[in-house]
Amino acid sequence: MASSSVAYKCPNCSAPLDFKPGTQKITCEYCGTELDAEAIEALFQAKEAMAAEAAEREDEKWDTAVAGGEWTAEEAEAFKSYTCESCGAEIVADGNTMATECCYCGHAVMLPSRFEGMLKPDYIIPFKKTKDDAKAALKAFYENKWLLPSLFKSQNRIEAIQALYVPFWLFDSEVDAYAHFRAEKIHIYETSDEEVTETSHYECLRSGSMAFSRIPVDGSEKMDDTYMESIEPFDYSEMVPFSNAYMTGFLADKYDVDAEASVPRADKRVQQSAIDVLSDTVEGYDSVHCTESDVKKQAGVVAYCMAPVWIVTTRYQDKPYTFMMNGQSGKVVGSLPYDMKKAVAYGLAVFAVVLPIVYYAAKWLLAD
Amino acid sequence: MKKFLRILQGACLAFLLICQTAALAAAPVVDQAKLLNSSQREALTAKIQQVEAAHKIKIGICTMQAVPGGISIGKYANNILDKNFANGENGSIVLVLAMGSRDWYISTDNKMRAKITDEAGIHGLKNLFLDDLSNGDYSDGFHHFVDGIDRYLSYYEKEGVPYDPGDEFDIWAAIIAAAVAAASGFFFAYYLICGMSNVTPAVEASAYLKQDSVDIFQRQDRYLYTTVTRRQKSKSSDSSSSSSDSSHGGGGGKF
Repeated sequence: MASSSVAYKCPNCSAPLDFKPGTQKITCEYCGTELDAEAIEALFQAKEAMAAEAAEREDEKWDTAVAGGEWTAEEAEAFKSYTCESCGAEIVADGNTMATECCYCGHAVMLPSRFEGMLKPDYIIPFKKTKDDAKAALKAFYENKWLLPSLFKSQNRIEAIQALYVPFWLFDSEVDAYAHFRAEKIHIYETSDEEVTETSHYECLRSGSMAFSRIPVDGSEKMDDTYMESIEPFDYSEMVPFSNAYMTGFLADKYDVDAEASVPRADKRVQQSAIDVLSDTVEGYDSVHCTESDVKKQAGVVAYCMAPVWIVTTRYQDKPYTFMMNGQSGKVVGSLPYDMKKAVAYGLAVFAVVLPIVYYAAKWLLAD
Repeated sequence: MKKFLRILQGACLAFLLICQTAALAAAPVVDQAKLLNSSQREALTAKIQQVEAAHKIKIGICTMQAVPGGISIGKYANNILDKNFANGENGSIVLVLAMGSRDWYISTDNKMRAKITDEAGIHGLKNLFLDDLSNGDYSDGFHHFVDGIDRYLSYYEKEGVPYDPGDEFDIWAAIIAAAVAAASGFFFAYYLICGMSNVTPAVEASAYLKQDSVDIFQRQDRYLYTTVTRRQKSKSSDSSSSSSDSSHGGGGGKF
């Protein structure tokens, strides 16, 4: 039976290949052969085509089994099995997995059938941070957190650490914006017996055009949008045209939120920033607030990009905690548990310090 | 005959002055400005005598329309103290009011000065009666003045140091301090809790703005109107003054 997956192996010694973050080369750890990412991609293109064909045949076979009754069509679509070309084990992955690794032999596995009917990414931002970097960054993330439970560092254990290419839509847009602002100039002066405040009110109109480049919006339903926005920014100068070769050794998801559905999130951010830009030009006033605004998009271009993310899942007191790290910049985001007793203790400590200071200050002010 | 009449007139005048001085010397309350009725004066005198006896001191309260001779009220109060209320065993103190100029002054001798200090003592004492004087409640004001002396001296006799109202517990200051401290403690704890997560949504895209693409093609600022608010400056009712010297303490101001 033809394999439905493609394991990236060294053409010299057949050992599994992994892309090394921070380089443009793929090096075989076993025989030391150094290979270009492009060469590897060309080498395995044919294999991927064959694997896709095999997967199609298996899909038909699987569909027959579904007709037998236990799985719904949605469930069958969501979870599918693939055969590892390296060890023959059956791999189960969800419907959006484009690349994974065999849980038995650890070989990097591409699932080409998943690429069908979907857009090919335009760009990929290669991983620069390694697994060790992710662990070190997470450890540093714990530092100086006063409310971290004392046992968290010792009892907290890493359950899973995964390198995942997350699909992102990059929006370029040019906008025309106009806004009305209400501005105030405040002049305070004193006479012999009064303090006089003169507030002059102005109506300010601003309009202009501006362009935004590559605003990222993640195209993955299962990735938390807020986490993905928190790990920004990515350095696009290191972004390269997409190649499958960069995905070897990493997990990868295909998009399940298309570009059209992602547009509102990008538009919302553009609108806010456009108003902020106009607001910054209302100068020479003591206060400014926007009363009316409109932002019209003149042109918009979308690119499809795979961005590197390390996902670290830990468990503490039977509760999972997920942290994500920008695989390029190393920025870690996540929510740590906190010890409420410590929070109360610090609050009381501040209370105890502030109380006498404010008491004597208030007493002195009230006495005059 | 004329000479005899002049001598008689001078003798009568001298007699009157002697009588007035004797009256001033004898009476702790000399109300030339007629601020008190007879019953109020008697009640105040009784209270003063009681406090005088309890602490072996001399207390005087003198009111008048204007300070004679163009001298300052502080110096006049010092003179009154020296002439009519000197030699209190544990000290002497005099309160003088000049109603025309609405001045008040407390003069103390050195013994009293050690018990009611020029700074904290006089400052605290004046707070006991100044509002009453400003409101025209002179009898209450004088009673509060005497009560204050009693309190200050009782404290001194018990503790051996002058009473400082600044040392007293202030309930309003405590309430303000408790509220501010509680809010500070809460916000600090909240700040620490917020610091446990750095997951925040992105609401703008300024990091992706092409700086050289910004073209502002319309700028129009139009003046609309001006509003004016006026706030009266708080006027201090007490412009402090002092005529302290090596043998007198005290302080005064306006009411």
